[in-house]
Amino acid sequence: MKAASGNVTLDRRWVEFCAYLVIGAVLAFLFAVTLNMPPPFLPGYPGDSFFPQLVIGFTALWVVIGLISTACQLIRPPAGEAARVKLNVVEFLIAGLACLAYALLMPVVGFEIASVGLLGGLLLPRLGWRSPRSWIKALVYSVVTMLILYGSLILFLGVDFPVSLLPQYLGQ
Amino acid sequence: MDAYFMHLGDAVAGVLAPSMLLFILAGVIAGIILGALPGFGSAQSLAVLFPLTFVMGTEEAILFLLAVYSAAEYGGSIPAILIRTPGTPAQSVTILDGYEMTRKGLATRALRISLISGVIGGIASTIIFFFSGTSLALVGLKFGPGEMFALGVFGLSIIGGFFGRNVTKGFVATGIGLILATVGSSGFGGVRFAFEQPYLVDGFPIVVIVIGLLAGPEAFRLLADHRHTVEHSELHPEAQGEDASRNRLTRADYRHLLPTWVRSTLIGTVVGIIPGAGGAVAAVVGYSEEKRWSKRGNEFGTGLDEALAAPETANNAVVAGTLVPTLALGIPGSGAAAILMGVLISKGVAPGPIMFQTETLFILTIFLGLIAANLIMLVVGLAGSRTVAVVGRIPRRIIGPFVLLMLLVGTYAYATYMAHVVLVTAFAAFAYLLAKIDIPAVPMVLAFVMGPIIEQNLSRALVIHGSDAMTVMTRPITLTILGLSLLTIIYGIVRRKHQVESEPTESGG
Repeated sequence: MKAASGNVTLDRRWVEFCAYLVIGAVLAFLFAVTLNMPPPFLPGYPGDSFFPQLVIGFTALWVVIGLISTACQLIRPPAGEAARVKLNVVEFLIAGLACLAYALLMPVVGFEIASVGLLGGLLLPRLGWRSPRSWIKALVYSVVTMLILYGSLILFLGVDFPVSLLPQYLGQ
Repeated sequence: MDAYFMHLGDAVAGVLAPSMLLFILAGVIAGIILGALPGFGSAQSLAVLFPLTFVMGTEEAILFLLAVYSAAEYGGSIPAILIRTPGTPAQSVTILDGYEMTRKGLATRALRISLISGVIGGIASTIIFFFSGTSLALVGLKFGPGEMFALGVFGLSIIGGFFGRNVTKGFVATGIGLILATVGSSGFGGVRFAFEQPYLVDGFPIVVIVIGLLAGPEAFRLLADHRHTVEHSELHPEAQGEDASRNRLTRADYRHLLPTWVRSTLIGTVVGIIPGAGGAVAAVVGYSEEKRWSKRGNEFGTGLDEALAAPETANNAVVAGTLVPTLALGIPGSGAAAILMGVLISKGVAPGPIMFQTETLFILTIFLGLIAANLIMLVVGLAGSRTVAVVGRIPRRIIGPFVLLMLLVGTYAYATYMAHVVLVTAFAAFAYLLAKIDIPAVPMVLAFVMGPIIEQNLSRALVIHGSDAMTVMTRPITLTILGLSLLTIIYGIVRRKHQVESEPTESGG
């Protein structure tokens, strides 16, 4: 099988170091937010900011330990394959964007079209673009799955999904 | 007790009536299916089916819902085992060993262990509930805010068991989970970290956290990491199919699991009695205690029978435990219990201590009906386990899109709020990336569950005792549980030190 394009290989030590830096920055921001929280109004109550500050401090302590640990590792030479992080950026972004597209488009085009579109669109490259059978399989799998979800969630359980096509055919 | 034996015949006849068995069977099937849907925990399953009880008699309604409740706990295990997607928060630890067993071609075995463990936990805890309902409820009443705070701390202390090799990353994950739990209402009138977003005012729903941090990354992994994976079974179709002999449970396996079932049943029943604790806490405590007692504790997470049996027994034992404060004291300890109580009150039955004296036939019917529901669940589950296990053999690159759709639809179905779907996507991407550097998601979820228990109960205890922390901490039950927590942390550190010194290097998380 052809290797996937979009693969990125990164030095784990640098990725961890940057991750700890980002987490630390977020913690600092959240701590600043807690400084503006209102003081306690109830006798005995430590205040809305007490527990968040405690937890932020606890987490920050371990982030600092992690930063120091990874900084020490950066000084040493990398330790082979285990020191690499692999990420298929293209597929990761496709998965994320597919979810967001589904969330944005379902209210517009309806549950039926959005679900068939999402499932069929993700299945087709995995079954093989070039084969007509794959196109038929992708369509059948997605429509059948959509119908099962429609029947169980919308018809049987009455969950309120935005729908567009099927109610017309079902006389609803 | 004599009164119970007087009504035994009537209760047996009532439960074994064809119409009653049909209601129980319907409840079991509905519960398994709903519990398997991400976003549909036991409380949501009961809420959705609650209107159906309006046309049922009192006993039928209660037994139908109890069957749903019990079966939903097992139903949530099915996707947890087959596709590493917990159906309910209680299966957050089931994925650790259940999914590993599926990867080893032992999906049917895992489903059977889960089912049998759940049935044993359900039946055994029902018997305990029957013989000691009122007494146990009084124990549960002794758990005030200080004691609940200590229980939350104990829960945090055992989260260390899910850290993997890297303690630093484990604590960072725990901290992230605790911070996520502070978003939204403080419980004392304040709103934190909402940044004027309406969907953050109530905090993150547990369903969004569980799906986003546990199931979502698995969907991303199936889509991104296994985009081009060709399974061994596709290259060698003649080898497709599970090894039936390895999937069969022998007498030796049952003997081996017996201590696990006993321990975890007791844990689940006790946790169920405590208001607000729930299946997730029972599963975590059950798993952690099993890891402590097992001779193969350092192999947990690789697909061990007992590592799967423990949380599954505990979270099903919670069902009967939950009934204890609900029926004996009229105090519902969970959302699911509140719905059950709602049904009782709507039918004119008043839960409370008097109920055990005046409604003996009804109590006996519930007791026998719960046992019947578990037995029916055993039959239905065993009949379907080999069929359902086929899902575990679908190539990972193909099942990825189905898992993703199921998660998105399940998330939306929870509250029909599209913002939740966006949140799940964001959490899934976040947890997937963190997993690349071995920062585990399970401690995040568990800390998210424990965080409010710790904070709100500590705050309440301090308000009650006028900020006197010493008085709060030195109450007998509180002190005992805090002492246990400290011992657990020390034991965990010492044990990990021995493990690290004796094992070869492996990737953590």
